[in-house]
Amino acid sequence: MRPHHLVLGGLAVAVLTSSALAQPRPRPGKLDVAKATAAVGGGDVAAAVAAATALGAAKEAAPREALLDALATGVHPDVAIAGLTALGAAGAKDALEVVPIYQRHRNPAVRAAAVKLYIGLSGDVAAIAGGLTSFDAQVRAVAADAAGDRGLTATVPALLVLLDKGEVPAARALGKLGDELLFRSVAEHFGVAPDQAVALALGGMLAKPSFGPEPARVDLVRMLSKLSGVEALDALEAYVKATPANPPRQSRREAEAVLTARQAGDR
Amino acid sequence: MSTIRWFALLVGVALCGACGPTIVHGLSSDDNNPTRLAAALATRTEATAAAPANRLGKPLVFAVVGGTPKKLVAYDLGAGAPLWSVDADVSSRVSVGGEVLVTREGAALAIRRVADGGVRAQIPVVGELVGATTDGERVLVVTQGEAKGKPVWTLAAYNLDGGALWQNNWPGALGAPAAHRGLVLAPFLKQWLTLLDAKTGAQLTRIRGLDDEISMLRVTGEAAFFGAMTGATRLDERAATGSRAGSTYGTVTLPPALASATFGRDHFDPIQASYSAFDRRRVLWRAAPTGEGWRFDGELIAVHFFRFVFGLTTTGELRWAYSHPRVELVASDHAGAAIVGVAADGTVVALDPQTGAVRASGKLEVGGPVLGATIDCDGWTPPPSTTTPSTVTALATIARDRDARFEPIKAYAVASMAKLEGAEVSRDLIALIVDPRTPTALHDVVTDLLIKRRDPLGLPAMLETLSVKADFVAGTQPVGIVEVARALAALAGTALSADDQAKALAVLEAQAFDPVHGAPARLELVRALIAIGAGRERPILARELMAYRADPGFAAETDLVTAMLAALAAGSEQDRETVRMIAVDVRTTPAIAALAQAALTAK
Repeated sequence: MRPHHLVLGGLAVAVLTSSALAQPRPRPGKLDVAKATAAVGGGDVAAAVAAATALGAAKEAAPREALLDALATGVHPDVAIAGLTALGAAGAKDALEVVPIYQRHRNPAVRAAAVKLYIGLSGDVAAIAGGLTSFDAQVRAVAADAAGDRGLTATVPALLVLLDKGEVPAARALGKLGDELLFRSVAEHFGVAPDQAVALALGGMLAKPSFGPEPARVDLVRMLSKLSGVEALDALEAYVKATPANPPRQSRREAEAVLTARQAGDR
Repeated sequence: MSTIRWFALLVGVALCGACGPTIVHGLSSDDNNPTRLAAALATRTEATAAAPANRLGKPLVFAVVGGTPKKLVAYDLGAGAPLWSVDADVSSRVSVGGEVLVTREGAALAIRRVADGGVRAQIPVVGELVGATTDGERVLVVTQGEAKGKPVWTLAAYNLDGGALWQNNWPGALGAPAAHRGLVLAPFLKQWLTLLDAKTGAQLTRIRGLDDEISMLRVTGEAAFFGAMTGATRLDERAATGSRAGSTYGTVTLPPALASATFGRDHFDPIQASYSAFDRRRVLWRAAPTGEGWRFDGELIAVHFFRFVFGLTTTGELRWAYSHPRVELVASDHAGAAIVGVAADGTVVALDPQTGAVRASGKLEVGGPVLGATIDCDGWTPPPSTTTPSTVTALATIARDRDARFEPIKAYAVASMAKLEGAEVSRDLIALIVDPRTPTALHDVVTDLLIKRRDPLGLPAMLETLSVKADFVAGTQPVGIVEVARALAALAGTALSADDQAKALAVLEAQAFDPVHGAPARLELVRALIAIGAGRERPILARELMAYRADPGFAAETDLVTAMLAALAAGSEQDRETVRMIAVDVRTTPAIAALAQAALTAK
């Protein structure tokens, strides 16, 4: 059982000390687990951050145990961020035991790290959907990225709401999720959502080789040409660069024409 | 009327006035003479049972309607149908008696027929009109003019064809007259009430007010009352004492918010000679016409305050409330079995004086705003109401009113509501708290009342408020958290069931540590958690303290941390062990460690 289940009363003290005592002696060239364990449980925040990073990145379970013990009994927010981030990078599934309390941590950066870790380890769709509704922008960004990366079309309605609010991560996620049908949906938000956000979403769609048939691409390029801001031009530019001149494609030609026309004027 | 006829009428009236009997009154007289008062009262015609003053005997409303041209509209309340409507530039109140009604229209008084609204005669107004009335046999007019460089007030009587009957001159301010069973009641210099014979104009006696000024008159077919704005004396033999104690005197204690309502119109105020905002703040009352002592009908009065009507005991305790939708009631009257109100949009409503239930309603189909109305429906008994009005709903409606003029009334409505029982009261109070349009002062009053109620029946409404989930996409988040949490904490020690406590704890736990809330909300939620939990919250507190003990942001919320540590330190040995560990562990921020140590010491 993870120590965070035992944090009450004297047991908490016992757990804190037993983890440290259980660490093996350090070997040359390897992480000094005992020292790192002491540091992560100590009062020096900078040392604890470094130790948390090292312990969380460890391949072995034992060093992670020390970090998880510390996380379960409360650490400085910076230490929590470092530890949760390291655990996420290491793909440590055992971290799921300590994550819940940090998912609703009062510090938004800690919360974002915890949500990212939890989604990364669990793939919990409900957590992603829940993250999109958070009042914290960092958490929403994490959830939106996850939604886009995992192709969660169920999150599209929420992402469209966020698009209207001009949220860049949501726009990117929509870009990743985009197909012809979603393009039409996003296009309907023209004039409601900020042009920059719409451009990011459409630009992401245009960059996808699997986006859709050429007529849909042409429509997408035309839609981008209506949007103000550099984001739309960047998307068209990237599309032109990424698409070979031959065989000739109308979408590329029209994108080039828009860029040429804009270059003559003000981007 | 042609110019020539008008001039002839004017000359005729002037000549008749000059050659008719003119009595000049002085300041000195035989005041408060019980014998003379008894004699004067004995000359009165027989009292009639409560009935309309008009000869048709129908409960009627005469409304002056704005627009071009203005209109005078008669509406039959009993039939629920209009009687007639005529173009009339009315600039005074409408006085009704017998077959006629009297209005000021332009430079003259018009005597119109009740039956069809047509003009029967006109009386030119010479000088400033103070007021006019009719007893159905004659028209009584008070004007202010000048004689020999000095102001003089004239009370004159005319027949229904406009012919002069008699006139009196007075050296001081005379109020608008009232006709009462063969007598003319004329308030003089706000100090006296003069009783005159309506047929001759002869003064019969005079009452001098010793305790109050005399500026208000109320006359029904049964009795007459006089007094000031805050109370009334019945015109009976005891009135000869001139004092409150010796007379049949009645008054009520009004709540401060309604204290500007008056017992009747000021007969000396030229503004109140026509319909005005004063008609929208009125104590609506009816008292026994005879018998020992003063008795208000049903021991209740009502206060009409613009859009609202409140039923009150004579000590000012609220019994019912009525909120008229959207527009103000511009006129109101207590007709005995019904309180009748006329709204600016022409709506007519009859309320049960005992319950506030709507007994009848109708609508004058008018092309403009109703500027004012005279309600002549004494004794009208509309059918009983089939519905039971909700005072709570009415008060909540008043409290939520958007009109910024009514803030004290809203506060009064809220305070009255808080005294009532029922779960819906708390729900309505909370609705006011969470409504962003509620003015700050009222919001604070409502919050205070909700906390002081300590009503366990309000728990479901409180938990509903606290259960709203913060959702950025849906745009929802709980509102009124601080206020409702404080009210919830106040329920500690009340008769909450174990099930209710468990529900409250679950909701409070979910919200108390939700990062979406600010520090004030967190503090009140945790305080409520501790108050309601009565110890069962300690595992939750221990978990949170352990999680955040190294967080400088948490440490900055001193009140919150102190409350949590104190609650935990008051618990079991295991709880105290947790506090000790927090106090000594190096990971704990120094501020929290110190607070933990203090909590242990305090215990």
